[in-house]
This record gives sequence, structure tokens and C-alpha cells, in this order.
Amino acid sequence: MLAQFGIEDERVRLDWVSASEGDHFAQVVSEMTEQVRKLGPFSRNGGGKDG
Amino acid sequence: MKRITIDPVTRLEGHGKIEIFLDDAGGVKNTYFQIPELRGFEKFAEGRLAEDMPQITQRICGVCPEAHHLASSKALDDLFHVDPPGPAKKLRELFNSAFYVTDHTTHFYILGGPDFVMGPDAPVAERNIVGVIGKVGLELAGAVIKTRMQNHHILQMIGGRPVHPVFGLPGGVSKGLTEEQRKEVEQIARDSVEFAKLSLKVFDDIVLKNKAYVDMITSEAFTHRTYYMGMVDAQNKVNFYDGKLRVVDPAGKEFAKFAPREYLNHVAEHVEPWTYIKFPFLKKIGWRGFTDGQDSGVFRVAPLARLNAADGMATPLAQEAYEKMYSTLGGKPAHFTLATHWARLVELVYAAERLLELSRDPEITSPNIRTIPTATPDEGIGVVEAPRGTLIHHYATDEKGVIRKANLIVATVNNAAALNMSVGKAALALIKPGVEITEGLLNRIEMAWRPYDPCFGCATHALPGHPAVPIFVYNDRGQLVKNFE
Amino acid sequence: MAKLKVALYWAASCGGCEIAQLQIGDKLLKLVEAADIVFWPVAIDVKYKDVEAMPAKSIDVCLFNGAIRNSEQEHIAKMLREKSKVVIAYGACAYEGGIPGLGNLFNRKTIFDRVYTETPSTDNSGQIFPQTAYQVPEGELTLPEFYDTVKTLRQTVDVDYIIPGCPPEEKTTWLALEALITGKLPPRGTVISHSIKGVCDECPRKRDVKKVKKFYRTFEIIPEAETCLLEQGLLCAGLSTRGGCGALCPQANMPCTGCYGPVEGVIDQGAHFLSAVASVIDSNSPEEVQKIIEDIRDPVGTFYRYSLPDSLLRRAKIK
Repeated sequence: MLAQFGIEDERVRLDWVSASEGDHFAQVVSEMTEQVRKLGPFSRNGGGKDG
Repeated sequence: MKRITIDPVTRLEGHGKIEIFLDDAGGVKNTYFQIPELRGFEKFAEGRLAEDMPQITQRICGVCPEAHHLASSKALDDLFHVDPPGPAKKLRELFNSAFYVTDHTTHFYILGGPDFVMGPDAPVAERNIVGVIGKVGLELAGAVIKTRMQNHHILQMIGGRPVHPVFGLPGGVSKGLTEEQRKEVEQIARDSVEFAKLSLKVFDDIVLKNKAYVDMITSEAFTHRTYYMGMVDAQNKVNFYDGKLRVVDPAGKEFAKFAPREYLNHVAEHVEPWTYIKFPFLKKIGWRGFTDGQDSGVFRVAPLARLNAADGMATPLAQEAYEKMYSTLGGKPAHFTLATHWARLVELVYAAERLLELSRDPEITSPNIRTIPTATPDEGIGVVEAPRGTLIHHYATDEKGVIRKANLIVATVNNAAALNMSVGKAALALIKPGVEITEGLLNRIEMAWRPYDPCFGCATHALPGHPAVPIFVYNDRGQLVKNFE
Repeated sequence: MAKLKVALYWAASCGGCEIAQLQIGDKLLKLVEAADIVFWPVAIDVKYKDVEAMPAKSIDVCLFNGAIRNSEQEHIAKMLREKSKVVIAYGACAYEGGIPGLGNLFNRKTIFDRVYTETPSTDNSGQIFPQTAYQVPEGELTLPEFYDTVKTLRQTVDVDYIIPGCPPEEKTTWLALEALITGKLPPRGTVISHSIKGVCDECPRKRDVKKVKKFYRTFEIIPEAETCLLEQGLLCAGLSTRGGCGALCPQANMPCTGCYGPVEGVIDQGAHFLSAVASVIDSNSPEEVQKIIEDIRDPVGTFYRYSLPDSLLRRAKIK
């Protein structure tokens, strides 16, 4: 469904991290942050009216 | 340049605006009938499941959702290469016949009717359904309401809901008829046939016996000599559900006869920058502008066109009415746009007779109403005659039946060019230098488009006291000189 | 008692709501006794200029159906809001965007390209598109602007009540009209229907435990007459759709498609439907689940059939 909305796969990630997995958590968040940064802000209408 | 703006046009299905430009002398220079809206079904169909299309496309029109539902279901049959069982096809056609009875009844009595029953020049306060009831009496008015309600009941019985049915599927229909329901349908059909005959008599008494009306109907101002297209069965008789598409030329000679699948060889659509509607024309002749005649690709659809394009009606009472109409009008084809009202009543008789025939068919209560498709879908075209004209649904899908592309040519659209021309010709003929622009005159211009588009079906009343359309006449200094509100 | 002044208008709609309003049949006489219809362009010869001339708040009730697709519809919505004491969003298009809302998967350019140049029957090598202002030899012709995004009525003006449905069933319409005539209106903002629960509550089909291992397309199976359609693998929206319609579609052997909008308290109907479907999938294996959901080939069309403009995301991104 996200594909139909034009939301890139890379903007969504499902992962499991337990409270004791500090390093893993940091890694997942950093990776995701970088990934989304590369994609840029999400604009629905190509930046035109309505976002 | 002076102009007369009519915005919005009323008692019309959809939105419309008419601009009439006058020359310095006060005659008409040009007229434009603009359609200011678009929703884009041909695009947002992409990505949809094919089997959802009957329910999605029927929201193109809530007055004739039945027509879209059926054209779409037929397109699905074609798409999935599946043949519905006989009973399913008959149920669909029975449904279609009941729908025609409601829709044609509504148009004649509530939309087209007031112009004739009350007269084109009748005060606006009376030129509406309330006036019609007063003139024709409560008994007839009651019959109109009863006929509509009963046939709508049939639509719900088979289609599942009173508006926007759900029963169409590739390979058949989702719901059948019980014997008890069949008996009900048969009784309603019998009543509908009587009502249809009565309606023809009403037309005869009120319109045909009135010389002024007959003169108006046969006048040049309301005449165009176009090509005509309609669906016909194997005997070239009018059929609303299935058959081939036949086109006759302005002289009445068969010009083309083709299977729905071949429509792209015959029909193309022209675009203008001043309106959102497109203008279908005959490809083999070509687009020559807003003009009629043998050399112009402009063609017409809907009741008068269907009768012109066929050799007759498939049921006896309708055939009798058909012959009487043409002998009165001086032969085939009839080019008098206002005669569409008459042709519509001939079709009403046929629809009621066909409804009765199908209600008596031994297969109509069969539980065998679905064939499960097994082939891989690719492309499908489904065509029916909607009350307002030939309706074409064309889908292309991927191998899982998800729509890749859709093309729709929707009934009234086929008349878009003729609509523009009819209004223009009436305006040109009626608005002349020195002639006072009265309300009646403006209504006569409206009468030029009303035969084409039945608006939406349902009993309604127009409250008295205001002119049919807003008319402002300005002089060349932009000052308001006449105001019809 | 003075008659109520009622206005009815249609924006980007199909006319089905007009028919639905008149399905009240002979109750129409009760309405006519109590109300004067002062504006209804498709049926009554009152024009935009007449409404412009009406004093503010002089219309008692405006029943507005249709979504907001273009500038003219937005203008009329705002005008009617100013002139009316009460504005009611009538039908799915005004409420949630409706079927025209599926246009939010596209935008003006992609729609115009398809309609005016790409369809196989269109003959337009000159690449002509409709213009909002166009000069013909005699003068200028204007058309409303077609927006990129379909909006709901609530996204355009303040709305007092909602009558749901595509179109609303007769009893739903009458429930609202009767409240208006008697002056016994519910709290402002109410979605007026006989039910706040799902369609399942009204559906006569027998419900058991929902465990679905495969979803079927409607043409693939002939469902059993008495059993819940979702349990048989059809994507029936009943559990995420407000009732009040009488569950007509499942009784015609077809799944509910969601036209009455979300159940009370839900703000995104599609997301609710999606999670409900997820919860009935009978599997714990990711691979098997993946295979099961692959059969849902048009998620937006299935889950957001009538409600895309009213969803949280409102529209799709166009590249």
C-alpha cells in the first residue's frame, strides 16, 4: 500500500531491538537516519500545492 | 461585443454554461456550450482491480449507474474471456429494461414534459412538475410515481441496492430471482406496458394535436442532419443490452455496422480548449468542426438516433408506435431534435414489453447465474445503450486483472458536438435584431439541449417564480440593459 | 411556524445523492410542508447570482453533496457556508472524498495527459488542453481551475453534520431531515446514522471465528449464502464501516465496500480496515503471511475506496 502512496520502501523499516541491545539500537537508528536523509523531505505532490 | 451568459444551465445532468456572443446589430455571432467539470475516471481506474470497475465506474453517474454497471460487467466478460450463463445475461437485460422504464419516464414527465405539457412560453412558475400535475391530473401523476417506484423496486431486488447496484461480475451476476420475485416483476411489467401506452397517448393528446408544437418540432431551428448511431440486434432492431453498433448517414443509408470491439476504428474524440468535455466524431469522415451534413463526422446517439439507425423495434406495440412516428414525421431518418421526446416514449414501450418478455422467460429464475473465469485477463470491451446513448467501457489489465489502462466513451459525450450545435442554431434563429428577448424565447433556446440529456431521474419539483436560467444582457458599454432573474 | 429554507448543491459528484434524497418518496410531502427549497441548480431555476444576493445565514439548511475538485466548487461551498445557518455534508464524496477521491493517486497533469492525449480514441495531435481562460474571436471564455488534489467539504469549510453513504440510504436521509424539521438536532459534528457500530452488527450472515488463510477476488468464488463473507476470504469492509444501511451489499452476495465511512471514533477508515484484515490472517510464518497478502493487489482501492482525501495521508506522492 505504501508503494501506491508513492512512499519509498526506504522510509519504512521494521526491526526488533531489546532494551539491552544498546549498540544494535544505535546502529539501526543511525542507518535509518542516513537513509531517510538521502531521500530528502517527503513531499506528496512533487513539492507543488498540497505539499 | 455583447454577450449573454447562462450559468449554470439548469435541469441538466452535470454542470454547464452557455455563452452567446452578439454582433453590433443584435444578432448572434457565435455560441459556446461549455462543460466546466472533469473527474478523471479514465486515469484513476489505473491500478484498480478489474472486478471493482462496475462499482467504481457507476459513480460516473448516479442517475444511470445501471448502464455503467452493465457496460462494465460486459467488459469484464470480454476481459476474462468468460461467457455468463444464459440466465445471467437475461437477468442483466431484465434489470436494464426496468431501468429504462424508470429513466425514460422521469425524463418525459419531469424534465422534457413541462416544456410541452405547459408550453414553452408558459410562465416559469407553472413550467415544472407541479404545473404538469395540475394539467394532467393526480391520477396520471400517481401513475408516474407508481411506475418509477415499482421499477426501482425491481432494480433493488436484482441489483442489491436502490442506487449503485453491486451484482455485476465477470461471468455472471451475484444474485438471482426467486419465483415469488419473478411474479412480482411480471405484474410490474404488465402495469408498465399499460403505463407506456398511456404515455404515448398523453403525447398524442398534448403535443401532436397542437399545431404550434408540431410546427416547432419540425422547424429548421431545431433540425440537424447528422449521422446516427445505435445498437441493433441481428435483425437490425433496437436493442439496449447487446448487439452490433450501426451507423446511418443523414440520408438514412447504412454507413457502418461493427462489433463493439472495433469501436476504435470508427470513433475518435476531438478536444477544444474552452471546455472539459471531448467531442466524439466518425473517424472515417473526420472532424470538420461544429457542422452537420454528409461531410461532417458529427453523429448523434440516444432515442431518436437509435430509432433512426435501426430498421424497427423488436416488440409489437413499440413497432406500431415506431411506424406511426415516422409516418407522421415524413419518413426516416427524422432529423428533428425535438422528436427525441417522442422517440423516447417509443423506447419506453419497448423497454416495458421487453421487461414483460424476460419476466416470463423460463430461465429467469434459474440458479445458474455464474461462470467462474479461468482464462488470464488481458483486454476487454463492453458496450450497452444507456438511455442517453452508446456507452463504451474498454479496459486493459495485467495478467492478474489489475487495470493498466481504461478508456470510456460515455453516452451523452457522443452528443457533445450536436449539443453545442443545437443550442447555437436555436440561438441564431431566435435572437434577431429588434426581436425582444423574452423568457419564453430563452426557454426555447434551452429546449434545444433538453432532448439530449435527461438530467437525473427522480421525481422533483421546480419551485416557481424564477426564470429557467440567469440571463443578463449588456450593451456595448458593459451596462446591464435587461435582467431576467 | 415559518418554513425552513433549504438549499441543495452538488459539487464533484454523480447525481446519485440527488436520487437518494428523493428516495424518501411520499415523505417528500412532509418535507415540502415544512421547507422551501431555495436553491437546487440541477432541478430548480435559481442561479448563483441569486444565492450571492441572499443575506448571510438566510438559508436554514444546506445539504451539500460532492467532493471539491475544482475552483468553482470551492467557491460555491464557501458561498453556501456564508449564507447558511447549518451546512450538512451529504454523502460519501462530501464527507470523505468518495470515488472521485481516488483521483488523489494522481494529479492534474497525469489526469489531463491521459484524458486529453493518451486515451486510444482521443485525436489530439495538437496537444490541446482545456484552459482556465481562453480567447476566442468573439471574446474570452473561462473554466474553473482543476485542482491537483480532491478535498472533502470539511477541508474546505466548517461543517455542522454529516449524512454518510454512497449514496445515503432512504432511512438515513429521513433520520436527518426529520431531526431538522422537528428541531431535535444531535450535537454538532455528529455523523447522522442509525448506527455507530459496524455494518456487521446489521448483517444477517452468521459470524464465527475469523481465520483466513487465503483472500479471494469476488469473481473467483461463489460464496455461501449464510456465512460471513470475510470468513470466506472476501475482503468485506463491514467491520470497519459504519452501519445504518441495512447491510444491503452482503445480502446481494457481494462484500461491503465501505461507503458509509468509518465507525465512530476512527479517523482513518483505510488504516482501520487494513489492521482488521491483518488481524484475521491465520498464520505466524512471515513467508506465508507475505504470500497471503500478495493476493490483495489494490490496497488503496480496497481499503480507501471512498475515503482517500479524508485519510491521514490524503493523497499519493507523484514523482
